[in-house]
Amino acid sequence: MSSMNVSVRDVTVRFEKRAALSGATLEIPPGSIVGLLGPSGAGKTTLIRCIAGLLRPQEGSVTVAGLPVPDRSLAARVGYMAQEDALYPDLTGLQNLRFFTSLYGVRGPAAREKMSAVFRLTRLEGEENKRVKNYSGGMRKRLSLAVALVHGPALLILDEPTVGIDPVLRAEFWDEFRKLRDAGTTLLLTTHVMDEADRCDRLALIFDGRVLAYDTPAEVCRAVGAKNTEEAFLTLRARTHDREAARA
Amino acid sequence: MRNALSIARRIITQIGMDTRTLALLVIAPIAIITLLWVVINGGLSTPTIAVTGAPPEAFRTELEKNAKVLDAATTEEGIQLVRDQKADALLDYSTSPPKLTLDGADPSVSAVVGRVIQKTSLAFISTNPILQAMVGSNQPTIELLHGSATGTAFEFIAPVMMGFVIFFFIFILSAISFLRERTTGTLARILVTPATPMQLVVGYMLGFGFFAALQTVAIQLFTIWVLGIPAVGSFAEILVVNLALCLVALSMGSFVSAFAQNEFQVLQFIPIVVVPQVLFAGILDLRQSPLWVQVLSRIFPLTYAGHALREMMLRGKSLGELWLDLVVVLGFAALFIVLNALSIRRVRA
Repeated sequence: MSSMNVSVRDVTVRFEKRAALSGATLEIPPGSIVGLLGPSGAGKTTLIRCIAGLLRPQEGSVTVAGLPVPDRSLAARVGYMAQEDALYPDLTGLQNLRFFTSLYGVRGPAAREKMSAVFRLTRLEGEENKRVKNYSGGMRKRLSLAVALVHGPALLILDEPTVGIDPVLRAEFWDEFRKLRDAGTTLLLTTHVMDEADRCDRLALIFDGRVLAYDTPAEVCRAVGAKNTEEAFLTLRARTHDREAARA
Repeated sequence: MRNALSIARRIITQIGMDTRTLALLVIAPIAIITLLWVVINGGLSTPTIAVTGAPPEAFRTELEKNAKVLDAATTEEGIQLVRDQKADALLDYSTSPPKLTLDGADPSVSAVVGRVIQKTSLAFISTNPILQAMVGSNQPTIELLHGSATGTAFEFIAPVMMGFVIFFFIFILSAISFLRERTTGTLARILVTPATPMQLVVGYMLGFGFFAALQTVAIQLFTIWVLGIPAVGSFAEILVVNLALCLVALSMGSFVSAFAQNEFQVLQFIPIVVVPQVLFAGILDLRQSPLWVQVLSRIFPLTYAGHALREMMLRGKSLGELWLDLVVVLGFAALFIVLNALSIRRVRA
């Protein structure tokens, strides 16, 4: 598996007047789980969309595996799961998965094999032929993950993958994330659940379009003298506020 | 190409499973055309005419063939019948020459009465050898190059109407389904796969094109065979023009969806894109309208498709004579396909 390191340098994205990202920098080593932690509106999704190639930053650069994003040759090696489910409600789970699988160029027996593997993985066996509109919220989330996984990407970008999923399944998801990482996959995910943040190899605290801290969860805590990630996050956020107040 | 086929196949499965949309595509246009046919053909054909005085017996017999005849004792009584709308006109034979009094509020009723009187007069003349000898040889005979003497107003607008109905439903459907693709995030999800925007647009054209073709065949068969609208030109050539028009509707619909945030905003495009086409694209005769209207009508694809359809169905021309119309329609389609692919490329970074 090729090493899918991600490099984000001084990325700035402005929507109309408001800056969603202002000079964000992040180096993601291959084969690791990196979590983006921050309040809503901090710029997590914007950053993820830049890396997925769905958004072109006004300033700065994003490269994946050394290639500047967007590059279509990267598409087959990247899996992306958005916050919204992005599925066709009128189609069955199988029809949805088969459609996206075919767009990755996986067809025929190979597709069948991969599809049943991800259905098994996401505990959707036996639900394949139900229409997605009759799925529960959690089932849709799982199918959405299945779509992101089916072509065996080396870089997996997941925007809030565990929202609306029960604790048991969430634990299973995390087992799977670790297995994928151990197999060499790079995972980038956003979360605002603190206990999930602790499970990441590296954690980036994002606030106001900037990366406030980026290190292992333990190191992030130690650097600010906090007991846990939650406290670390609140401390860092307060400091930024103070600094900005002082500047003003 | 395989990606485009995958997209087309998904769309076909999706719509195939959605019976409501299928019904909208086929039944709704047919219902609209039928209603128009009923309303336009349901106009007055045998007027009620009040008569006073003593018209020649032969004249009265002829009049009774074409109108409902009411007898009025006096001119005043006859006028009152017209005022009360019990009769459409009063034919007063108590004066010389006879006088025809009409209600006059509805020009189409006046026209029908006029036609009936004229027809009756001609028939009356032919019953009388003396009269015939006096005027007969000078009577012009009427000959139609196209259509038939029994033709109705609906027959003239039917070809354009057919094109319009096809355009309208495909436009709305493709605009809304492409919009959904944008708002639900499936568009972004497709764009992170190796599929290109052009493959996506082509896939859409193929998938929807399948249903558009189905709809077009149904509407065309219905208009020509069930409603009996004369179609002199070849069925296949008419179909070619209709399918080209579908392509424009598809590409315009999906392009327009880039400028809408939700379904309601798609509907806001109807007054901009759809209504002017109805008014300016040949359903009404624009020959004597101001120049700006005529210029404006030239920017609508339906103008060209409508012209071709009318010439084929009513005047029996072939596609060989109307190739320019077809080229313009296909040109519109190509333009919007490219614009659409460009607008999608903007979504993907």
